[in-house]
Amino acid sequence: MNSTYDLVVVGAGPAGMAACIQACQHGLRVLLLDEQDGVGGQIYRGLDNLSVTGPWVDGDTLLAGQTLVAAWRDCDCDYHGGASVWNITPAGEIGYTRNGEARMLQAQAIILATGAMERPFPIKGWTLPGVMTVGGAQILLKTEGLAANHAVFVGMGPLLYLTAYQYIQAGVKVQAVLDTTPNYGRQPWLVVRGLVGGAGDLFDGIHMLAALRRHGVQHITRVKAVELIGKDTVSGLAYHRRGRWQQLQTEHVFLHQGVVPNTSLTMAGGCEHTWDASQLCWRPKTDSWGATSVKSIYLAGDGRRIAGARAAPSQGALAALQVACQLQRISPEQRDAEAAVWRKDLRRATALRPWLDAVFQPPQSNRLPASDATLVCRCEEVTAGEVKAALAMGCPGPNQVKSFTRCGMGPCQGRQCGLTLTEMSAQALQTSPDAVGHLRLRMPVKPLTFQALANLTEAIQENEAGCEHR
Amino acid sequence: MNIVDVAIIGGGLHGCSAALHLAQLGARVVLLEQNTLGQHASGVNAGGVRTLNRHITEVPLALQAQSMWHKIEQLVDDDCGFRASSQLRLALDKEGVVALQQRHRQLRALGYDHEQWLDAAQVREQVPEVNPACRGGLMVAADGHADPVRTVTAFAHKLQQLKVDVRQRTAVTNLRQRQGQWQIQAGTERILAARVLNCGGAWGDRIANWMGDQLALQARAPMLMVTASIAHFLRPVIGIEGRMLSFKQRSNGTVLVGGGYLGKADRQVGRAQLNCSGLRSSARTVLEVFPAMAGVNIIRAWAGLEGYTPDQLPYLGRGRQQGAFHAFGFSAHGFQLAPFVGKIMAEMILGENDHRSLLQPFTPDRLRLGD
Repeated sequence: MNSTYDLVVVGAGPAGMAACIQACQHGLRVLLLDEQDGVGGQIYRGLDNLSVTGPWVDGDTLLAGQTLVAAWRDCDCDYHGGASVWNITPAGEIGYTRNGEARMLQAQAIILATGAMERPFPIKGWTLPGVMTVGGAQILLKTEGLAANHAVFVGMGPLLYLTAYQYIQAGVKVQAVLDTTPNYGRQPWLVVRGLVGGAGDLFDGIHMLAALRRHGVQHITRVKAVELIGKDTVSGLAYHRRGRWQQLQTEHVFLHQGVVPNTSLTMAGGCEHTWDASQLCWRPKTDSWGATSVKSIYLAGDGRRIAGARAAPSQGALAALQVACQLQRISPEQRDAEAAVWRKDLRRATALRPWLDAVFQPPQSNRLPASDATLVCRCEEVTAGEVKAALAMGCPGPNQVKSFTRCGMGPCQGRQCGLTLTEMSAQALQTSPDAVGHLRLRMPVKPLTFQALANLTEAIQENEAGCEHR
Repeated sequence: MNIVDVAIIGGGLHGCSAALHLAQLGARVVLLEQNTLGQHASGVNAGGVRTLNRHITEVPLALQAQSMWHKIEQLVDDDCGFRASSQLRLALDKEGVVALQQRHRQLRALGYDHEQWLDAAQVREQVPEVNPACRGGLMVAADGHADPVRTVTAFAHKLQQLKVDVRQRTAVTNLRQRQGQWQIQAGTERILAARVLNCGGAWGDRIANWMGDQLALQARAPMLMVTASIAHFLRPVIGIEGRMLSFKQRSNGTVLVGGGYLGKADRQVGRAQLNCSGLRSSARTVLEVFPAMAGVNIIRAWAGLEGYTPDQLPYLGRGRQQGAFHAFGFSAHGFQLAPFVGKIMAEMILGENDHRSLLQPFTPDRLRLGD
């Protein structure tokens, strides 16, 4: 199997687009694969389609996104939208499905710019119908224009407030925002403003605070614990604040406590990972260019470590420069000279990061289930009690707990329970997350039908036929 | 210094089973496992409990093992998830029919009547979803499948109950015979054993080498795939004559697909890499037999490390040196044999019964290298 591509970039967010632009400048043959139908990633979702504008797209976001999309349009890369990547290998192979057809390509190098996913929020009732993640709620709003009235937003971090704000801007009534940030500061809005500012001046925190207040949204801070109530669907929630429990009635709860790197593909590809003690998650080990422990695989953007949308283009460009250097299109001297401006930009974009990581560290009570009845694994319906029992029986880590309880064996392969399982294991065994390890992930990291697999083409000469160039 | 009657190296299902039977016969045993019990082939195999289509040489062992599976609870206090769901080996074409009927005649000539011929209509009665082109097949009603992890766990619990000394994460780094005793360096400890049983699986040849036996072995990594849970449609475990397929629906509704397509084994790091071309072949075979599976999602694939011998039959029996015994190289069909092989190896090691007629065909001597 050989391929005409030097580089395959996975993910068309800011990191992926910047990687394409930089790699094409140095003459690399590049293919960009992305799961959505248009470029932009999560942050600039839908921005390449100029007919999509709404109250949730403010002017600065539009400008930053459109500038990047325009620069990407001018580069020479090939692009497959609607492509779901289900495997990468150390040999540089990429398996993906598009329009129900599975293909396998091989490239000299792969840059993964697959971004972040929301951290699990395993509190009592989190799996009830009527409960979803804030990120999920935001996507429904952006893509389908769907929204639920009188919802309660629970958790912490900028996306929680941003989405509540976008709801209001879209004319939807929001009942309350419950903030679970520990040590909630005297200037919370500056925190929000600082983060979002660091991520590209997306919106103004103080402006947003005023909007929430103006629209009569209850803003309840210093929430110590939350339990969701309901039998068949969620009917309300109880929260613990200042020593007592109070209740709210609602049929819709949106949960969010930050994002973590999406490590599905790096784990399936055999990259080494390490526990990030300040962001409380796994991240692939990378050098300053984004090279992983696997020679052909590079990373850029939030998939490497959460750094925000403003840091992403620099990381994409740096990874592409290193790939170009490794493929001997540019000299190390040229690479370093070109990298200087990106490194400077990256330092600026991540200057606030240590402080933000500290402020937005979710409390243990919302990461480790308080009740044994709480589900850890949604797919296989494994409770915290069952996980604890397996650990007490002598399971030395997540993979053994998985064997014994089926926790993490369902269709999501532990994307939703993996972090919880690692932290529960480390706690029970009184050791570090690195010592207990992470769930092993295996291809296909996205479901793949027998039909698609049976027709898998190890595609090489299909560029003329199958690949549109915008 | 720890002194035992028998040291078993390798905590897969065969090591556990031998330890269990040895302990029940009153021997002092230590079980040494470099990682965790049942981590490789024993824990990640397809769980087939099959006498159907066994190599003729293995049939006597498999039939004895089968009767043990039917009362496995008496041995380990748990049913190990065993279901006598039957196993079928189907013929999709004329060549398949010829091959299976020939096997059927061969078995009957040897006096075996456990495999039963089904014509096309009888097959459809058993498996309504099968491709209508199917022309018949062989069935063993008393075969079935078990849950590998649950089986290893049950054996491990039983060992705990019998107070057998089980050392996990304890790699053997040296092994030699001196004055009729085996000296074993295991982790930080030195163990003295009168006899050593090598149940080293994919690493068995290395251990055999220390014991003075050069036995050929190849580490391979047969791949498996599992689907999302779907409505129940299939009871028997299905194999196909002339194709590499093992296909079963488990009680939770997921469908497990194996058959022996290989990934890339790396026993240095104890891992295996998947091979997409092999998985594609596997998917094609599935669709040939069950066209209705086309739209079903595969959610995970994996491979386990297993040791294969040149003739794909295990090494069972004595090594060249005094007190050396081997039970490894099951070549991806050892799961079903484990309860019985552990028993006869234990009896052989303790001198209670040599089981000569059962074990002679598997003697390591048959393939010894370098003489």
